[in-house]
Amino acid sequence: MKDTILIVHVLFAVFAMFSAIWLFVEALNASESNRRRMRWAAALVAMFMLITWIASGYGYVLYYAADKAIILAGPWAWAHTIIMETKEHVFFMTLVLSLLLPIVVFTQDLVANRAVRRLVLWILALIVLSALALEGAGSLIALAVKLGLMQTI
Amino acid sequence: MSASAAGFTLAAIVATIFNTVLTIIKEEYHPLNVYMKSLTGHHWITHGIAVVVVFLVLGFLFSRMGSVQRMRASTLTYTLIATVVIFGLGIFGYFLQA
Repeated sequence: MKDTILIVHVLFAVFAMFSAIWLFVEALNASESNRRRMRWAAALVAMFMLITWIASGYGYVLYYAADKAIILAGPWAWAHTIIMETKEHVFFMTLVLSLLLPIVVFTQDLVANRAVRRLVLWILALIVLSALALEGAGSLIALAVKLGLMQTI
Repeated sequence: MSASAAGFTLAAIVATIFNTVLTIIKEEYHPLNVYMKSLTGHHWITHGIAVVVVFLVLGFLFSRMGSVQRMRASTLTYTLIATVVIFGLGIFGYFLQA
């Protein structure tokens, strides 16, 4: 169950990133013909990021304590004290941006309003960049658990 | 910009700042951490709910303020970028030095 939850939160974060990149390309080419796709993509970003929040919260609350103990006893204790602590709090910024996205996309005319289109592009860039950083942080944390376990062998 | 877009963008800026400030305060003042844990069973859950609630509530409030609706999209865009970068790095910097 723990590994399933772990994979689910990573997978849906990736889906959110793909949706954000999709919307980025659509917004760069905003026209009457892709309005509906832009709205779909924005809604998917928010939905996938909410699922990521729920799955990661479930895993963090129920299962992370054991991994935390292994990391802190291992050679990469900083993977928890710096990386995980940063990850779990920076995520909320990514979440807020993901929730903001459909609000802007659904209430604004991205085709006619260039300034708002630029806002949307920047929101998407911030979502993708922060999500990539969080994914990287997650792999460091996973490696720290592995190193901690290897130390006990 | 529409009232909603402007209002919620400003709310996102405030929620981003709130997230970093709450992170630091709860790390420095343990009773707050304990209290947050008592609300939902885990401080992180309470933290997340608080940030989202701040975003949504302020978004609704700012959307009804005429002065916010008159804000330029470019101003909000650059303020949002700066806030996310500075306060995101602020969280990293805090735990780096802690």
